[in-house]
Amino acid sequence: MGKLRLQLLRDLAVHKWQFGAATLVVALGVALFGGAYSSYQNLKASYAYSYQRLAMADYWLLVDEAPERAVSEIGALPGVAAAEGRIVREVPLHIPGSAGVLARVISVPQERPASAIDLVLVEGSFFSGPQAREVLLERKFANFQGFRPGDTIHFKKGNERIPFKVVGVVISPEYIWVTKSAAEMFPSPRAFGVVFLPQERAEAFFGSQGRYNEILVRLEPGADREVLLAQMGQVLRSYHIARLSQRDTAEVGESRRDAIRGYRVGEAVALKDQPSNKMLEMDLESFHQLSLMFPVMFLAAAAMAIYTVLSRLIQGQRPQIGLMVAMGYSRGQILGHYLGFALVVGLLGVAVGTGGGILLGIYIGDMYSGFVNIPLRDFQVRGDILAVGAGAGLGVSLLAGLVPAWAAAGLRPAVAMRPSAPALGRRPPVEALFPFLARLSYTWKIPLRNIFRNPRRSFYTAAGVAVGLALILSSASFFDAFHSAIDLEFNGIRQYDAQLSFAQLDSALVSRKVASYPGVSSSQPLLQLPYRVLSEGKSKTTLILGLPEMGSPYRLFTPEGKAIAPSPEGILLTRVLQEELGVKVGDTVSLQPVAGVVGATRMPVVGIVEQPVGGMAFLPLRSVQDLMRQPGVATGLMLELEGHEGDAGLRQRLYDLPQTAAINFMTEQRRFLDDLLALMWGFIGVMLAFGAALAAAIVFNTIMVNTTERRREIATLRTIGLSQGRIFLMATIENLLLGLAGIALGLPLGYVMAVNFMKAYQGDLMSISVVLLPRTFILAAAGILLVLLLSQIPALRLIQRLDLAAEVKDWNS
Amino acid sequence: MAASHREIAVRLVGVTKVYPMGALQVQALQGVDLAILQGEFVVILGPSGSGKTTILNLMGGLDSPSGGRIFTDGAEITALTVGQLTRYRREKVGFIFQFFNLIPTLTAQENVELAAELVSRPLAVGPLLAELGLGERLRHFPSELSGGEQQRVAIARALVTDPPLVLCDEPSGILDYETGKRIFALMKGICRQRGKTFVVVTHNAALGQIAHRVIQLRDGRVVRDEVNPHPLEAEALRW
Repeated sequence: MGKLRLQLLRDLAVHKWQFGAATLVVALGVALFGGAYSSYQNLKASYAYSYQRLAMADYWLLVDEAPERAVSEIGALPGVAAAEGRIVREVPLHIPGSAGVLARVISVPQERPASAIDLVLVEGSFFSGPQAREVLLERKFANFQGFRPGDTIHFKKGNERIPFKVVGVVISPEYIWVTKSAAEMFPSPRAFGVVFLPQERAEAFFGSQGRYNEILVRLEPGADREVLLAQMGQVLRSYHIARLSQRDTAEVGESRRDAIRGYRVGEAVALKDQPSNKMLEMDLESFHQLSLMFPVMFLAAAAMAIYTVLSRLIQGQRPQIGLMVAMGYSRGQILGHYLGFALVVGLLGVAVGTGGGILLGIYIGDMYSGFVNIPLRDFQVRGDILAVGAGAGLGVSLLAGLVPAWAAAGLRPAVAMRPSAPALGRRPPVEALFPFLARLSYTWKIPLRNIFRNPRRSFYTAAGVAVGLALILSSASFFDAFHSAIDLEFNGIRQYDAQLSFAQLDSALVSRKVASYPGVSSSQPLLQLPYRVLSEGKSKTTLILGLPEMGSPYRLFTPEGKAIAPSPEGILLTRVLQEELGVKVGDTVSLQPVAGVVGATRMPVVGIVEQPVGGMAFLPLRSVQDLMRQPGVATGLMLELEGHEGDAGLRQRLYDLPQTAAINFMTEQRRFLDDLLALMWGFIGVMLAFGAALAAAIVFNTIMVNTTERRREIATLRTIGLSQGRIFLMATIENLLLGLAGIALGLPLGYVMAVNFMKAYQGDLMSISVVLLPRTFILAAAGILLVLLLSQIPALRLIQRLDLAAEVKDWNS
Repeated sequence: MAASHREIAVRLVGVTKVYPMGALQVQALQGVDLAILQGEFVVILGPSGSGKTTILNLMGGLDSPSGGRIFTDGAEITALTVGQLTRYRREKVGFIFQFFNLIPTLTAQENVELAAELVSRPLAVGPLLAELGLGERLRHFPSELSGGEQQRVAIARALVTDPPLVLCDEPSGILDYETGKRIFALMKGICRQRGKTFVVVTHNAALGQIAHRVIQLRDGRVVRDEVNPHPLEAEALRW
């Protein structure tokens, strides 16, 4: 082994902890990129693979009724790969001990694989025949309710309980994320589930032989969508379906429960608007942000770490470099020697980071699989992504090492072998700005001046702390934002305990009857209708909620947090809807019912409402009834119950009402959302670990470099009589001041990252505002400071072990 | 040398020092007996590795001997705890180093004040610096001072706590000839005017001419301990 290489290895061994810390930061950046970006690609590929293999539909044509022939004609259009008619309806399920579950029943053809939207069987078997009295259950629902193949479920039809045998548990590409509609993105599996029925059995059950209310269309690659939509509209027109409009928000199934029926209209929902797909896209986008934003910062921090440690090493080895040059080593050899440190750090960091990235990718994949039903996984170790991460890690390491190595190679021997000039002292600018600082005791003054002594290094340390904190804060803000949204929804907006949904449009007078039940504190009717809101060429399909003008337990708030009531003078829009339409208070919007033509009108926007999930519009109950020319109707009730959930007797009584389709208890809904969010703790745990490790590595490195560099000063201070405790205190003050500067930088940085991160969750499905609770900030900042204090322990031990006699004489220290 | 106990500033009794150097043991001091009197200007001479700096470090409480005992001002410093040693260095000893060892982020005045605030009755910093010819340089940082000026700041820092003993390790080692002579003149004057005991370690034998006593070391042993009956003034020195 060449002597230079031997020297390199020995120097690495001597400074193993500092180079180790720099290696750790490189590894963290590479691992974060490899893990997060691979997961992003894995999820994206899995969704695409599932869609492709399971023949995911490109369009859902929602119609009141279309015959088999219409489906065949659409299927025969050039550019259409397959068209399949199906029945989709919502039916109450009778589950003993449950207060009503609404099942979305979907008919499925017997032939496998289906030509559009095939199912993946995860347990049990497929239907024994097209007429079998059997069902397949969507996995999340089956798991939550504890149904297994062989169990029996009962559909509720009037007073009848019709049994069906569960034969299998399935995953559908249509319900990777189980949503009820765009307005109800997070239904609890306690109250909502997806159930698949054999085609002919479904037709018989709903009395709809050969007629479908939904047509799935799968297109050939490269098909002209606009042309095909027009052609499909034409086909449907010949079956008396007046128009086929494209929906800009998908509410698959919502129109099934349309209060107003009988109008021959249809809508085409594209895959991009399908709620599950949209939710997945939203999630992927936030992942994409995360997988690029943080690795870049980590690698920047790694570059600074390598630069700092190597610069210090070279400073300490100036005489040695001088000697090497004097002996005849070339500039290239010296450059190569010092670049070797960066290379070793880079290679080790990349090796550890790549391994970590693979593990992180597996962990994220497993965690995600707990959230969503991925039908077919395309999870793999993505060599190309790992290679990019490795290349970036190595490239950044070498670039960072090049600057000090180049300087070392340029040293002239005579200069190198002379003691370096005394460190430059100067009064930091802050002392001119705040003269009282100059009067501080030396316990404060020395640390303060030390910070300004090497501003670049101090900035780097503060920046390292800031990035670590920002990572923690932006991840934690995800929780804060969703917790706040859940709080607003359940503690602010929905001041009722249960929402009773009618099976169909019914009399609002049911409310009075229910209000008289013992255990019911109050009951208010609610009218909820799908509507299209238009303004200057922009259109949005949404729900209009008709609420009682007085005493509505569904509270509305402006974005400023002020209470606002629905007004007969005009419509209230949620902020999401307002932004989508680009309207402001005072503008006039057009309202068109999704089904039929009755109820079309124009009215002014009289206010904006803050609501986290779902772009909706609000009017007084009476106004909606008048609009529909159906006085006294409602689609459900908002109930306040004693003890929030009522007793078993009351629940049964409500459930037994002939009007009842399902009862959704807010406590259950909230519990479900809280549980869903709790699954994300694994994610925040990883981010916490990464953030803390980054801050620890950076702080450790800086403190070690500072301490090594100032050994003689520290020894002098000890020699002239400063106690060890006071020197520890001075070091701690310096580090804490840097930490506080890092926190001051990290807070806005974390907020900006959170804003970027949460952008993915601000769309037409939901608008989750960025929230960073003071508690979160205080905990994160305190955690970072604790990490900082722990990271300085090795440096304090170094101070403790200083050989005073040797250090005060060492001109090179 | 006969001397009453009160007159002895530092006494070394059978002091040995062994440095472990890997598998080897380096005997830096081999049973040194020495007594330095109060108010003396003592120069310790010897070639490299003779143990002169080791003696200085042991007297200053920067290191502890492997054997033997050291007394100063009636106390045995070899029996002191770490905290007591810190207090000893703070109150009883002033150090002057070859490389000045000033804190680069503090001005001349602040470097001296830093030491001053460690004792209850320090000397006045401003007048002391003025006396050392630094009246105009109080607010300058070490990097803005010449070597001689830096060493004068270091002398001020060593004196400001009014210690009875001042230990100097090659104080003119990196200074030019004239500046070195001026520094010695200054130290000699302080020794005389303030009655301080100065122990100066150097390899420059010529400096022995200005000392009250010259101690010569070789291989960790005292090979010469002589009183100089006619010490020269520093200005008259030539080397």
